[in-house]
Amino acid sequence: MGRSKGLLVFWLMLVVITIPVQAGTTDNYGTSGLLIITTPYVRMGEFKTDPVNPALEYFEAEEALNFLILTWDSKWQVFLSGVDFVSGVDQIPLEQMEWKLGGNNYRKMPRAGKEAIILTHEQASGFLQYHSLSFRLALQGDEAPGRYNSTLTLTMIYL
Amino acid sequence: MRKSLFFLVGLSLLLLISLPITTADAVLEFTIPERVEIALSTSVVDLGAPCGNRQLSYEQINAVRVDYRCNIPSEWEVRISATDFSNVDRTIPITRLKWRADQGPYREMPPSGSYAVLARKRDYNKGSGLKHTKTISYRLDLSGDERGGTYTAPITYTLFVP
Repeated sequence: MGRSKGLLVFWLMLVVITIPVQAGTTDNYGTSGLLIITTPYVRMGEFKTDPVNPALEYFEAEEALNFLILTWDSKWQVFLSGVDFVSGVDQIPLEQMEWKLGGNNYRKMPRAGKEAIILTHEQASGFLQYHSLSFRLALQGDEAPGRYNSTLTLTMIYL
Repeated sequence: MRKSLFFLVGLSLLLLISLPITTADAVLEFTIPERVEIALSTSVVDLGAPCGNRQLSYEQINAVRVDYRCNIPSEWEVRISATDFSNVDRTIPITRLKWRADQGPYREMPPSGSYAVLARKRDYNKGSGLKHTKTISYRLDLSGDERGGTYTAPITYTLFVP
């Protein structure tokens, strides 16, 4: 009996810590919610050439990063941040990329380590929400060849 | 047992839902391919009619445009080489042909089998991986004892990546 209880606790804790949600350490207002990225790995695909300006080459991934918000709190914000794209010793600044939520216009990504507010309770309401982020990265043309990657972080804060 | 189970599930859910901040990560990935490109605006250059009185000269300004691009971070260079002008069994040394890039000074063509460097990576501090262009003009000064005929010489532009 005691052993099965211990096993149960272990499994429950395992479930808790493997859910892609991390706890903050401050300001526990007793608020509640979940933020889950349903597409945690985004490939930007093949690069494209602008038909009007052939010198402009870019990557675009539309509705590539999908996330689910489950909240019963009335005031919240979702932030987007990330790190520079890296391929070995080569880097491409994160701010070279643009993002858009749903059918809105593209906006510049903030610098690596900085955050942009992408969604607030004023823009969207409801207990369960599903959103898509699109990304576009225009190349300057002199980037070194290679496979680049970056980690983006979505942070949901309850006000 | 069932009571304990409910208690533990409830506790876990409480832990989950009482977080004031939640975060989630995603990885973005893309691949930039190697770009090694060179292109000429024309494959044939006619030096046209001769000019000059004592010495026959031909000049073709902006005869060919060379577009090149290499995004590989190595010491690449664009080379120009050629072989002698020929007309059946007669030849004119290619060194008589002079070339210049954009508005630069005319330079002698290297002898057949050698090459001259038109551009190299270190010419471009920043943006060496971008597409670059040079416009080449040719000038041919004859000594006057050449035999009549139509002479041709292949000129080769090479983007060399070590």
